[in-house]
Amino acid sequence: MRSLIILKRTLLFALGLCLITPVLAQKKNKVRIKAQFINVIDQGAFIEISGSSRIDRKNTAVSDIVFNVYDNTDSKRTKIGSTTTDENGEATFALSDFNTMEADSTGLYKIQVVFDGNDNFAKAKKNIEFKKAKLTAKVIQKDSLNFITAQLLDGLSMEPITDEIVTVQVQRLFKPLRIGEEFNATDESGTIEAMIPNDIPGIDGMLNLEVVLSDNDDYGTVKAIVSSPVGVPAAIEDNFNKRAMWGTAKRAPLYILIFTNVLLLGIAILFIYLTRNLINISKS
Amino acid sequence: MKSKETIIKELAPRKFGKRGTIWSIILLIFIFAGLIAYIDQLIKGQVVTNMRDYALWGVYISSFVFFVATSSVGSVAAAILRLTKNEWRTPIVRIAEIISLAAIIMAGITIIIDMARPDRLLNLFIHARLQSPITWDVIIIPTYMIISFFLLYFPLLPDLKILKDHYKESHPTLSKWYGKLSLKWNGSVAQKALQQKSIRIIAIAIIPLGIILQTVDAWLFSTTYRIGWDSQNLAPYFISGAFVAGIGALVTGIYVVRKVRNLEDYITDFHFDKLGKLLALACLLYLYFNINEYLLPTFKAKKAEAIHLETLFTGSYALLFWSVTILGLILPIILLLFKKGRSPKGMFYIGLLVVIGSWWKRYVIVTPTLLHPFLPIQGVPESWRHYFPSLHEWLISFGTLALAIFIIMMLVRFIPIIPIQRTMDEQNIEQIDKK
Repeated sequence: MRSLIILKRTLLFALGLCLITPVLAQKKNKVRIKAQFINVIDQGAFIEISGSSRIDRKNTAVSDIVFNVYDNTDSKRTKIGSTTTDENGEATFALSDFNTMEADSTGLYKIQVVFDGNDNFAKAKKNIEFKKAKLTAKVIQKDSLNFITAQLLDGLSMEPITDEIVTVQVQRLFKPLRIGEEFNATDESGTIEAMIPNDIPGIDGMLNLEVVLSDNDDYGTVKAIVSSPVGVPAAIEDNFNKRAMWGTAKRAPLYILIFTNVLLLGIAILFIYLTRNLINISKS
Repeated sequence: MKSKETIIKELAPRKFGKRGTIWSIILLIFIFAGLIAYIDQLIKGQVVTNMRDYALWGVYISSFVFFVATSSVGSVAAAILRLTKNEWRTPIVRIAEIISLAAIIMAGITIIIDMARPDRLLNLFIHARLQSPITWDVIIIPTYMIISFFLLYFPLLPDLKILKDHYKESHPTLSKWYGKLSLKWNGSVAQKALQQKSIRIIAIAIIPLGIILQTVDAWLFSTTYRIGWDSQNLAPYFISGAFVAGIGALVTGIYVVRKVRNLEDYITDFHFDKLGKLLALACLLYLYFNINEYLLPTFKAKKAEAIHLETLFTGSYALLFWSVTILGLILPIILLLFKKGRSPKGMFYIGLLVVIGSWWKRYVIVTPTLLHPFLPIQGVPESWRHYFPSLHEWLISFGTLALAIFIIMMLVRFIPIIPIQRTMDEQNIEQIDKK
């Protein structure tokens, strides 16, 4: 009797295993979604999204998957678009209507990023909430020294946002150059001020200065860019119009023009002379 | 001593025998197959080749460099022998000039084949940048073609007159053509003076032009900042290599013509011995430049260059590299040191080795460098990292080679391969102008 029970249980276990194995085999990888709101004042707002998955104990970027983006503000779920990840698993979704988008009564925007799943990856979603901030920046001069001053306000109440660390930097080719104090905290009026060194080179002396509130819990990343001629004009040697070996056909160096044309002329004269000799041979 | 009639009879061009006809048919088949492949390449584009973004110069450019090398030396060597009044040159100069002309014509055709859009050929002239070695190449190749033609044609005038008279009764039409081409040559003092003066000027001019041709060819590579080509020595390296290829082709051609036309009385063992010594000197010089090109960089090669050298010495191109170096260069030098090696038959085989080695040497110069760019190959299919010519490329390349040989055969068929007048003059046989 006991052996019958054991046999019955074994059979049941085997049956269960048979049923569960295909399910286990079809287990899909989870996609981890990261989303960050970025608002560049007067230039546009967007959400930077990235998808990664733990495959073979390694974090792997998931490329070519589609994220649908929904506006969940005021519990109304409205699809506002979609975006696809690149080979690095990254995608950018532009909030082109951000200025006309409405926040809820507390000034909060609620965005949901959804991946609907596919053959390899399971469904996933990510909610982000943020408020609108107003960041204004301008360059001022005090005692012959240049300063950048910026004010950070709440977008809805227009109240100053205090005690937040913002970064002041100059746009460079590979990486921004930080200027000012290591930590620039906004004061009670939401203002910061940083001195601009007077030895930073820029094309025609123009510098693109950035004030950035990075990855804030309430406001996301907010950036203001101001251009000002407070740099040192960069000395760029313009070779474009010079006669050079690497120039266009019209800008060949004179010595090349002279040498080649003299050589061509010499060859042409030689050929004419030899042809004339042939004619003279036939005539004589 | 042979009579005038015997010399003319022996040296006058004649119809191909059975073997010559079979050879011509084989060559025509190769040319036809190459033509079909080329038409297909024109229709479908260069996608039919295995050239891609990295190996963008393949077997066509190897053939082009080979033809340029072969062309420049025959004429230059003949010109030097003329100017230095080496009497033994007589039976070999015309073959040298014929090979040169055929090779430079094929160099011009090969570079057009390499162009994906030959209909844009005119753009090379319209938008020519005088700073570019490609423009210099466009200038020097037709120039060399014309001067090679003049060098062949001027000394030919008295012979054409002899042939006109020779074929007057047996082949009147042929005689008429020879008459037209001889430009009413009668051997007058005025005509001889003009002819000799022109030949002297051409012989002087062709030497710097030959050097310029090789130098421009080398600069096409060395002005490109690439591993293996970035060398100030490349121009003399190419010139010395050209001497090897050119004399190798000359020796092979002379042996075949001598054998087919039974010219043993005119092209003797003495000529082969002299050419053998010349070839040995050329090979030694080329070996010296090879050591310069490959040994020195092994001491100071940066990483990318070291990888390139490793590919040549022990890697995927090692077999080819060492084959062309040992079989195409070192072995000929050793064999040429012995008198038996400089015998006609020995010279023929050595010449063949040298010519085949020279062609593959150009392949070794062109291809591995392109597969080792300074910036690593990325984001392309695996097949783009390697290069071996496609069937189209082989058919077209063999077609061009066959066409070069066919041009030589046609010239051998219709013009005297050994200068008749000069041979008679050297043997003090009554000359036609003294009649």
